[in-house]
Amino acid sequence: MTDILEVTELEVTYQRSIRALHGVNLRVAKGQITALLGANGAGKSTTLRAISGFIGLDNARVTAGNVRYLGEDITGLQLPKTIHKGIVLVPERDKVFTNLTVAENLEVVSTTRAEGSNWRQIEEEIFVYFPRLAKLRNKPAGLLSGGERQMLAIGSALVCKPNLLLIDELSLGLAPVIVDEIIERLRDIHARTDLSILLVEQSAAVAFALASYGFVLENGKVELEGATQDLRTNQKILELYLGTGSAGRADYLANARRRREERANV
Amino acid sequence: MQILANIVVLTSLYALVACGYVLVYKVSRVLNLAHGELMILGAYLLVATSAGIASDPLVAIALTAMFSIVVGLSVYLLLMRKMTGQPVLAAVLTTVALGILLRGAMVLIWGPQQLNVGAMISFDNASIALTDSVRVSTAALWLVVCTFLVYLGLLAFLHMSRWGMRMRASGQNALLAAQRGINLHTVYALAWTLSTFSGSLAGVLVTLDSRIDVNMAVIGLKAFPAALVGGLDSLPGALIGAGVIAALEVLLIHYVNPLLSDVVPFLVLIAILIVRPWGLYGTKEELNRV
Repeated sequence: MTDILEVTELEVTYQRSIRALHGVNLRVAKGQITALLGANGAGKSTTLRAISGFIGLDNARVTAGNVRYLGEDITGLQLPKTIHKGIVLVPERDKVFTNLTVAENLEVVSTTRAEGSNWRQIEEEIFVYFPRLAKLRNKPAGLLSGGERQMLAIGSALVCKPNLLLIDELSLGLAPVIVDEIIERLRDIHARTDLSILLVEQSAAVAFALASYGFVLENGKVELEGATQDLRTNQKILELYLGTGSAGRADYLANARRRREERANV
Repeated sequence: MQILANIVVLTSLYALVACGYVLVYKVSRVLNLAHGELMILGAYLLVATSAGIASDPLVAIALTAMFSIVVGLSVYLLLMRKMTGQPVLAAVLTTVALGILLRGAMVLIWGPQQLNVGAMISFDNASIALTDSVRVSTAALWLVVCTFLVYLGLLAFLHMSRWGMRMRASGQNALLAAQRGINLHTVYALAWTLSTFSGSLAGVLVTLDSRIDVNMAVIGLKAFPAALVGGLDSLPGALIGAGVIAALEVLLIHYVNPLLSDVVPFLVLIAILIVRPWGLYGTKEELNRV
């Protein structure tokens, strides 16, 4: 199986001094869904942003390592260019234009002139994936629920015609029933297209439900990787980093305490 | 009735100038404090065009409109483009410097004395009787018509065209706009161009109605409260803000003291900043203004 994306020894520094990533290695196989797991502050979002390209506002830089996309070195490539190559990010926060309607959110996305003239057809394609959005098409996106915003964000990313879709925190802050619906929609989209997806998640349950391969990020480094069925049974990972569904979350404080003790012993 | 006509004319002037502030602020959160100077530069461009290229009023005005587009584009490409991604304060201070430079340059080129633009392009600014007791000048009538058309055009553009939507989107969330492949430089250049164009139009029409000298750039400052009362990022708000300022100004001049005319907009400005700093129709959460 070929890899669409290969990240080797990636280091990212913010504001010239704060290093967020300490040599991240990961791969995304073509046409597969790959998960990047880890706790808050582990460097997941930074990894995605580094792949999709920073802009001047971020004050961040790739200081070492490289990113290869379809065999081509794209390290440090800036934002509009990565999109033209087919790498599209669904950001964690502020993922829709709240002052635009749902239809406008899809329409505003930059496409070529030819696609621009038949955007209505493109819009309908997105509504096939997310029928719920079709009913909301003239509603301002600021009035949507979190789940609807996530669907719209994925939809508007799809309008950019990605080969590689990067999703930052698919399930964060969403009700479980909505998460299930989005998982189902994503599976459907994945089945119909040859889209490769790199999914950042805090919830192991969501990651395992979608991805075939996973990487676990801790303190700016990949600590563990493997096929999801192997990760699923890796007891240590489940207990220490990811929580095991509802039972695991209940033990969150105990886990945190254990983690701290374990670190102190090292 | 004459008072009402005066209010409508002054509202149109303030509204036409204020929409330039709104356009740039809406997409980039930058206050263009050189807008008054850019407006007068538009009028001086008409002076230059009529003296050097065409003496027919319509041709001269059309050429001036084209030149103002070039000016707006150059201001963005040569100056403000470098400020993209910098703190907003840096960009605002750059516009202050630009304003001072432009003012100096205009005095150097065209001199400090008043010029009669209307006479130079043989524009007949006849007084038109709307009714028996209400009279407005031709230029003022044009001003009202142009403001109406500019607002109609801008609203249609912002809400119905894809580039207009991109302008609104970039103003709401520039990072997401970049992540969706929208070229922010194009959006900002478009905003500066439209802003300078509408400002120059206002400059041309207001100087046709009187005379031109560099100090008329103060009209730009007086229109700024209009934009702020409306909320700085709302076009309909700017129109209403212009109405409020113009009505107060005309009424106070008529019933109290003509000397108040320069003070009124700023009294309203202070009042609105105390009571409702985000303006009548502005977006409430963004108050880290410079």
